[in-house]
Amino acid sequence: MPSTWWLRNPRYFLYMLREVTSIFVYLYALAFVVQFLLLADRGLFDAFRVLFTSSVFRAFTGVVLVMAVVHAITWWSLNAGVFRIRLRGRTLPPAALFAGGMLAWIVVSGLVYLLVFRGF
Amino acid sequence: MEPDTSTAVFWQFFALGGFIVALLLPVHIILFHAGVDLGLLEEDLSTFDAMLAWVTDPLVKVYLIVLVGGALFHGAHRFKYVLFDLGMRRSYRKVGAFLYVIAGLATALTALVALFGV
Amino acid sequence: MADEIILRVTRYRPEQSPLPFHEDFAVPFRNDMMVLDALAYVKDHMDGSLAFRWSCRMGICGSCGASVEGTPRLTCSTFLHEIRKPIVRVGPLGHFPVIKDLVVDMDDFMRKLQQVMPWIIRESEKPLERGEYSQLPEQVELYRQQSLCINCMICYAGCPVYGLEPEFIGPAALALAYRYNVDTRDHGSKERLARLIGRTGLWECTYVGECSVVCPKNVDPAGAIQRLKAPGAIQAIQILLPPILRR
Repeated sequence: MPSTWWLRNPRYFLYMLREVTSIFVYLYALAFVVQFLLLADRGLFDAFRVLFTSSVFRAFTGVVLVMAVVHAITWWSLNAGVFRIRLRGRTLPPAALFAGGMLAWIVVSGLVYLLVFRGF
Repeated sequence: MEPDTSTAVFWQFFALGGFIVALLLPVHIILFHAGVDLGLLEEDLSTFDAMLAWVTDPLVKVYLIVLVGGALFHGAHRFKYVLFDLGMRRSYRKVGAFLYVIAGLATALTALVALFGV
Repeated sequence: MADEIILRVTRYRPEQSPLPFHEDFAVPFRNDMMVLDALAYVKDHMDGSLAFRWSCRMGICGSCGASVEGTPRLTCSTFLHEIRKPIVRVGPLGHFPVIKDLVVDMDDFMRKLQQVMPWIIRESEKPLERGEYSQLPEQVELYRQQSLCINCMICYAGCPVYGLEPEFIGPAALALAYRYNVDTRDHGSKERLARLIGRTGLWECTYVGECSVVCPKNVDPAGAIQRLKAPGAIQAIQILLPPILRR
């Protein structure tokens, strides 16, 4: 099979887009680990700060944000089709599970915001 | 069929990591990188003092380890299958093993520094 | 729409030519015509040597699968007028070896079906006089959707993983394994799962989801496979546990 098979139909293409988010997630996480480890030394951190505030890195994190959102939406929609949760004798429809995932996303995002700005 | 135990283990990390990334990564990027550029935040959290003040909180340390570990192991596993999808049928397992090793080392280092270093 | 449609059929006749080629047939068009009707017209009136499989003509036997305009479909259930093109391309199901024209070799699929033991396995059978094994409607509901599979192999033709890795067990066989694993009369789930957690089993599936899109019976193999992964993972890592903790 040719390696361009994912261009054959829009579903394959969206699948590939969703899978490729992982490359950005992986690379970003490594970059963040580097940034975190640089905290050991102020001079070193500030030396590398030029890199982390460069337009290239900011554009990269912008793409990572888009990819993270694509991941979040596709992840919940995929899992909504997998889990079978029974409530009061009937199986919840995938749409309800997807909505639950979106709600969890909003709540957790709010908690992280509070964690960063207020502290617990 | 011989059970593929290692893939079963890494699949579990991938699945758990998928939830972690879906829940935490978008807000994380907004807070630490894109928020100021997008006009959503005024304070730049990526400076030395802002980051250092933030990572001393024990809850934040847990958050950091969970986010980094989840993102790396989720990313590594899926990245490996992207390579398979692109036709690297013979080598994707080897490259995948390399991605897992990097993920493991980076997560371990983050955990060590977060818990005992800073 | 015109009164005539061009059917562009992929021909393969190894005894005459080593490579497949296309042949166009101008077929009289009626609005109620299925792709299979057009193929039958060609065979009856234009070229009796055209080879394709069919039987029931009502979407239940699963023999008439083919690639129609690049998408695997049952030709008996696909209206020509749905396609809305003056030229309609019909080829053999993708990812399978072709024997002749639209006829593919099903041996690999048959082998994989057997591999997942698609039958009820009992630890012990009760004597006949004690009656049948009864189930509640909600217990039937657990596997009903996956039990509707007609073995048409259309999901295999849609699955890029099977295209890339022919050893992959594939959607229909895995969906069938799920169908028996969630059946309350069955005791063989551990044995069955043991055949799915190797290198060419569950883990190769990356949830592209195309199998569930193209399935003519709405079996949803993709969802079924994902539901097998968590119990499969637990079983596969048992080997790492000390024997006392294994189930």
